[in-house]
Amino acid sequence: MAALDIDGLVKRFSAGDGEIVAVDDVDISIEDGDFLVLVGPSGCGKSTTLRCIAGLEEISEGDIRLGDTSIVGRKPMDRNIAMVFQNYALYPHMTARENMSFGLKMGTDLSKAEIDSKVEDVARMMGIEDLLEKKPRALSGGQQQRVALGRAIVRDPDVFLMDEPLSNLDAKLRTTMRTELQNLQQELGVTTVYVTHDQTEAMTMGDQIAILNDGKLQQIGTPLECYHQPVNQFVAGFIGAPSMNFFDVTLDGDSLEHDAFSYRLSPETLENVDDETTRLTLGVRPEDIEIVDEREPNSFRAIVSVTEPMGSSTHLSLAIGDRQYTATVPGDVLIAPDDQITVTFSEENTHLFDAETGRAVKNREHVRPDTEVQV
Amino acid sequence: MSTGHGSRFDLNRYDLATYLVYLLAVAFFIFPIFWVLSMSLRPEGDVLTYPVQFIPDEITLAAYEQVYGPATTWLWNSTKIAVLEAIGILLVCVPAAYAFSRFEFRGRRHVLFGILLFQMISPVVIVIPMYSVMNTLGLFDTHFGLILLYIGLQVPFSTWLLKSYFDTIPDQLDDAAAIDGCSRLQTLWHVILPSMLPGIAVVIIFNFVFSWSEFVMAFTVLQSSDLFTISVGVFAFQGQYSTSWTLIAAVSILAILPLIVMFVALQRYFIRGLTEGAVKG
Repeated sequence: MAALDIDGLVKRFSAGDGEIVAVDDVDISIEDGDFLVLVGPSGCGKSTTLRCIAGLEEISEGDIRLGDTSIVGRKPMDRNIAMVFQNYALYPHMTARENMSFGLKMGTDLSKAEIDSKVEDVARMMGIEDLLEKKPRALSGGQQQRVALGRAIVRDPDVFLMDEPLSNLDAKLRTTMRTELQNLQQELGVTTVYVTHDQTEAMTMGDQIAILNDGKLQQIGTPLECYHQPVNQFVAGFIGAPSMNFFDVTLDGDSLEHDAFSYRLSPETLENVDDETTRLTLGVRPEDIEIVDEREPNSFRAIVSVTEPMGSSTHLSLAIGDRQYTATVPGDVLIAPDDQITVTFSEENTHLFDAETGRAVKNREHVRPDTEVQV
Repeated sequence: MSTGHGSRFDLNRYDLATYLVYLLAVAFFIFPIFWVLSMSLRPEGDVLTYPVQFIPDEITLAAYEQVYGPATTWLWNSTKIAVLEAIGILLVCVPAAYAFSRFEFRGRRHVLFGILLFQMISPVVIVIPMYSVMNTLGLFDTHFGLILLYIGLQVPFSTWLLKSYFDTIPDQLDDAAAIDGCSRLQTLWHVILPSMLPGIAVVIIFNFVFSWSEFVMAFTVLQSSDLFTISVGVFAFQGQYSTSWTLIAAVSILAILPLIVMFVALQRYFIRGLTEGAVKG
């Protein structure tokens, strides 16, 4: 087990006459035993970054260090890294046992008895002892996933790399496996890099999340840091489900002017805004939109177009001006489509972004680190 | 015929029409074989009887006894050539198809297209130049020369076919093998090839059938009768002034028997390979 450091990683692919920069100057440090989630939309470079760490792609620039040693130029096998793939990549002609022992057979001098013993230990840990003599096609998706994880664990690697390992599972199994994976990672204490495009996985699984877009690292931090204090509009929009609402507004004196409403800002918030910046984007999380009485200051009218009851909460699709926005209200609030409601949001929960650069001008307060739950 | 619902034998008229069409199609292909079999079992004088007798009055194995000697040599020659050609094809085409499927390199598309172009050239067109080439290389009238020719002719089709099977194997298997410590060749041998055995079987069968039934090249390259393949052997019974149809029929039946046996034995494998390539490829 070791810390993993990625310094100035660049990966270019040639495409026709030009080239595509898939990963652009990415710096990431992962502490020994930490769980880092690389998240971003399709084509953002997260899988390429993972493949560079694994040694499946040659890097164009930069360095990757495991502990104090650079692993650039080493073959994948010599990096002591194990990888779990999206489609599990189990060898279809081999039994689960052969799949798990193949890496040890090819890459180590262990005797057959030693390999068998290791495989059986891991199979017991993963609860797949009964499946060892079965071939992948005889296993369910969840069982294949366990075998694939077992194959990674049995090699006792320094780092686990996981490339969207849960995306082929159904929703219920995905939730179960998510918890199992976290428990397993904590139990083994192996540094883990986990790639996903699912921000729920990112929020729930990682000690840290790194958000990538267009090959560039946007932000790295704890899930709550990224959620509450996004560095830019992309991160704000990507992290959180349903996504943050963005209102195009203009700063006029101490008010944000939107086509459908006017929102007065406090002097403290105004201090954060450059005098020259007038075009802003106001960001509000769906759960921060409240239904209020129409006499409430900073409130405005909205028409409910769609309701999505989730049980504990209900997502409302609201027509404000000529665009649709989302609000999340408690599940016991009964609202029907076409209802007219009055909504507002507390200023301390709002985010402001420079409309041109997308840079965060003002974020909501992060949960204070000294806040402790009294039991 | 039962008209009850749910019966296994419940046939409506559309089913009947379908079966009738199938029956006609099967008869269309089976009849020539049946006719050749019928001829091969007659005495020499009964071949051209009128009215036509599908099942001869007198059944004899005389024709088979007569062709047995040379036919076994030719069958052995055909088997040897077909097996070696199939092995040669795999040796050439597996690495080529793997490279086309897995590697990005300059001119890849053009080379693939070029290979396809070669496939479009009829072997008959190149018979004369090939005769000359074989002569120059001292490969005329040798099995080695014919095998080389067959490999050359079948490389384009086999490469494309194998590439389509390689394309169905996820790249992630290669990645997993690399992480497990395999070199490219080890990946190919331990992981990829065993995963596409139905595809390999299809390529082997196609090539086996091709070289078994190929006539023009074999007839051009081979001159000594003890080197003939079975397809050339059949022709050898056609004389300049007279032709023994019972002998031709007997040797023809001997020629197709191994293929029928192989097809029946490998039928499932063959169909699985064909449909996999068709669906996924």
